[in-house]
Parts: sequence; structure tokens; C-alpha cells
Amino acid sequence: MNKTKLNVRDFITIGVISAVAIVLFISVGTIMAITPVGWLFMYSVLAIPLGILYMLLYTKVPKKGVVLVSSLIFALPMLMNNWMVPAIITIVAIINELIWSKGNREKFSNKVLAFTVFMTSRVVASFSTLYLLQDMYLTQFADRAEYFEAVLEALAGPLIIVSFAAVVLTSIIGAFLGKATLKKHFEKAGIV
Amino acid sequence: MAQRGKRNALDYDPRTKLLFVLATGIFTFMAPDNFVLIWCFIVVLGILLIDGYYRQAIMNGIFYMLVLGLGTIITRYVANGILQIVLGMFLFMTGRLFPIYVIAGWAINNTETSELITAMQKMYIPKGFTIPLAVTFRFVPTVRYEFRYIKNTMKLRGVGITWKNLLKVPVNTLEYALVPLLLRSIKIADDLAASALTRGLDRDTPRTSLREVGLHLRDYAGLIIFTGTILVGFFLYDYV
Repeated sequence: MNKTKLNVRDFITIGVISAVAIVLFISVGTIMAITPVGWLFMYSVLAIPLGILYMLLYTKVPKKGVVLVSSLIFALPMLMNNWMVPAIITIVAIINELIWSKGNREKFSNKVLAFTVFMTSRVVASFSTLYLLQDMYLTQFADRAEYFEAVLEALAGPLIIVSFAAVVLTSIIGAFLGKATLKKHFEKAGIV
Repeated sequence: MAQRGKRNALDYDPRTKLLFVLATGIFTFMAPDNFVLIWCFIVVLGILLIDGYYRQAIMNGIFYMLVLGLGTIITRYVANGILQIVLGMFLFMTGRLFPIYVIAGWAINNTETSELITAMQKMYIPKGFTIPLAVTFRFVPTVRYEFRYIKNTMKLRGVGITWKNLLKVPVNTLEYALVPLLLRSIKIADDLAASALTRGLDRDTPRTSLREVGLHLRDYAGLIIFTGTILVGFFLYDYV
């Protein structure tokens, strides 16, 4: 069988892992997004469980195209409320895929980089969308204006740097946690 | 597949169902007021009713009304402050997302995976994208079932997913929840792959489908009626 190209088995693995990721995203995201501060740090909290998932995916399927396809599938649910979030994620995903396929895909550092860029792209996408389309948000959701004003106020201050640093940091922590989990459980079970 | 027995009343193409979901998303996002939101939700429930999901439609309707009604009353009489923001946001998210959730659930439950793949093949979307997408859609409900079993088992062993455990031993709780979930998921993925290979999903030639997949008159009519009824709600809001 072709060793470098994605086959049907890999596509199904990507689909299954993405399904678990989407379920996690919905359940954690709904709880976190209730408060403005929670919304800012939603992806930082998510990065830890997702680290395990995506380390498993990248280790099980170390092939060209994994990063792109998995990012696109995970971006798709966002299409429901705004076109800009998936657009930004797609652009970053293409760049990320280029970095991923150029480097040594078996190496752990490459996986950490891909995962960190993936998580950070989501934060960049949701923040910049809110920032660029803020007038639309404020008029559209006049009844919830104080929530978005609180978020925008926080974005203007130093909290945005904290938020970015947090997501990068937790992505790396999540990746290392994923590596440890892979070693402890999945290698023994003969899965990776 | 041809002798699958009784089909539902609304026998739409997967693309039409996808457009229904997208339209619901766009309209609930644009809805200026609770009145329009409730109108959209009633249209969504109408689809469920026509398609024969009476129990589901009634339960969802009661839930939505309860959440919106109670939420409005509570936010009005609770003093200003953090609680009001939290409750308001919860209300806001339920109000906007629940209609999408209901119609997406309907679309997923009523679409055969092979139909979805054939429809996307007709849209010239590459196979590398359609297969993972189809698997993801099919698998989200399964993940939730599996997770329920794991949660029960965790509770039995005294390591349940509670706030106390999440704050005290976060890494262990995460490990106990995610590792079995992933192990089971990967196992199911292997089974699915075997089944897909048996069905010749890895061939490069175009797929054929026993069930005819195509956009017919009923699809266009359904879409026009659906968006039309929702737009009537917007007009009613503007002029009444």
C-alpha cells in the first residue's frame, strides 16, 4: 500500500477523531462562552484535551494532508454563524499544511508546531472576526451588547496578549500530555 | 437499499437538507428579536412535524418555550450584575443555537452516508474531504453514546466527571475520560475502514448509487417554501 498518500483508512481515522473533537468543542465551548472571560480563554482550556486527540491523530497518520483535512473538518461547524472564521482558519491551515509537509513528520517537535498553529489560528480567527465586524455584532445583537462590549474592551487591553500566550502555552502542554498518554496507553494497546 | 421500506414524507436530497441547516443558521443569526427567533423555530418544528417526528417536535418545542420564557422572566427580575450577564448569555446561546441543533439533528438522522457521499461527488468535492466529513457527521451521535457509557462507569468507580474532581485532579480525570473514549473510537474506526474497503470506497472510479440522488422539483419547492415562510416572519416583525 502507498505509504505517503492518505488512504481510506486514514480518512476514516481523521473523521472519527474530528467527531470526538467537535463533541468536546461543543460541550466545553457552551460552558465557557457564557461569561466574557470564559470566552477569551475557551481555546486555552480546550487545547489540553485536544492535545491528546491530535497527537494521536498526527502519530497514527503521519502523512501529507492530515493537518489540512482535519483543520477544515473542524472549521466546518463554524460556518453556521459567520463566514469569516472558517475563511481565516482555512488560510492558516494551508500555511500550516505546507510547514507540516516540508518538515520531518515523524518528529515530535513538528507535531507540536502543527498543533499549536492550529489552536492559535482558531483564537486569531474568532478574535479578528469580532474585531473587524464589531459594528455588525453590536447592532445585530443589541440585546446582548454589554457582553460583546465587555469582550471588545478586554480585547483592546493587555488581556489579548495574555489570551494568546495562554493558548500557545496550553497547546504545548496539551501536546506533551498527549505524548505521555500515547506512551502510557496507546503504545501498549498497539494502536500507534 | 432499494427495499428499505417506508421512506419519510420529506424525501430530500442531502444538499437540500444542508441548505436547510445553513439557512436556519443564517436566519437565526440575523434575527433581530425573540419573536423572529420563535418564528424560525416554529418553521423548523413544522419540518419535523411534516416528516413525522411528532414526539420530538413537541418535546423540543416545550423545551424551547420553557427556556426562553423562564429566562426572560428571571433576567427581568434578577438584580443587575454578573448573574444577569451569565443568564442572559445562556439564554442568548440557547435561543440562537437550539433551532440549528434541532434541524441539524433531523438532517443527520435522515441522511444515509452513501447518499451524502454521492451528493458531494456530484458537487465535485474531492474524496479526501467527503469521506472524513461523512464519517464525522455519522460519528458525532456515536461519540455521545459512548461518552455516556464511560461517564456512568466512571461514576461507579468514584472518579466521575464532577467539578470537584476536575479541579482537584484535572489530568487524571481527563485521562480516565478520554483514553477509553479514544480507544473505543479507534476500534470503531478500524471496523468502519474494513467495511468501507469491502464496499469499494477506495476505488478511483466514480461511485454509483442504487438510490437516485438528485435535485428534483420537491427540493426546489421545499427550499422556496422554507425560506419564504421564515422571511414572512421578518416582514411581520418589520411592519406589524
